Amino acid sequence: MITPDLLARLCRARRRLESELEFPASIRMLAREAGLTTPHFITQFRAVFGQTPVQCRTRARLERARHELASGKESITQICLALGFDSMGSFSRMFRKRFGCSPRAYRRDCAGPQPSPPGCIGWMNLALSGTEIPAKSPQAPDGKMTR
Amino acid sequence: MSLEPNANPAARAYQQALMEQGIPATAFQSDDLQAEVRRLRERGVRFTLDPTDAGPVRIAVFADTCGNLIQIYQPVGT
Repeated sequence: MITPDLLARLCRARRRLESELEFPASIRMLAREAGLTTPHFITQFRAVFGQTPVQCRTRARLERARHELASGKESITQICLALGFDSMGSFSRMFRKRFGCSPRAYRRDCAGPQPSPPGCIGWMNLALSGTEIPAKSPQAPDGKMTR
Repeated sequence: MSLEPNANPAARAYQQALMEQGIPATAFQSDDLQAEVRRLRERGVRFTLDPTDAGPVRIAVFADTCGNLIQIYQPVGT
């Protein structure tokens, strides 16, 4: 059984795995902090979280990379190296496997602010500001105008 | 039940906090808690709470491997 204390220690290890990406602690060190041998730590971690500690860290790195690609100005190579990936090749391969496109394609096609249609408050602000509202407004599903 | 990827940082923080505090994300009723626990254990499921009396119900809690704790319970006397 996973005792509450062991669960808390595993959660703490997961938090470190997900947050300490640039200068990560070794799995052996995390196991020691959790009070377990390394093999037992990996077994217990996988049984609770459905992934090994290394898989957990890789997933977190890829998600951070995606965030950096979307919002940062660093080059793809810099992002790759800063997050500790072995090479651009392995980074691209893992990124594509997880997100369905290469890092370059993601930055080109998926990143950046997506224009969102104004909601009710947006339309009201536009009207109050005196901005001319386009004649053709989006239509609600029932065919009524949304403003 | 549908499990979907949790990409929303706010939802993930909430999910992780629940687990760290040992709070189940949801609960399911069972007609035979003991048999259900045995069945799940045989499939490698790790419990964080063995079947325990909790007033009008008997409960057990396990990790679902997706970052949640799940509670199963059986009303006493059924």
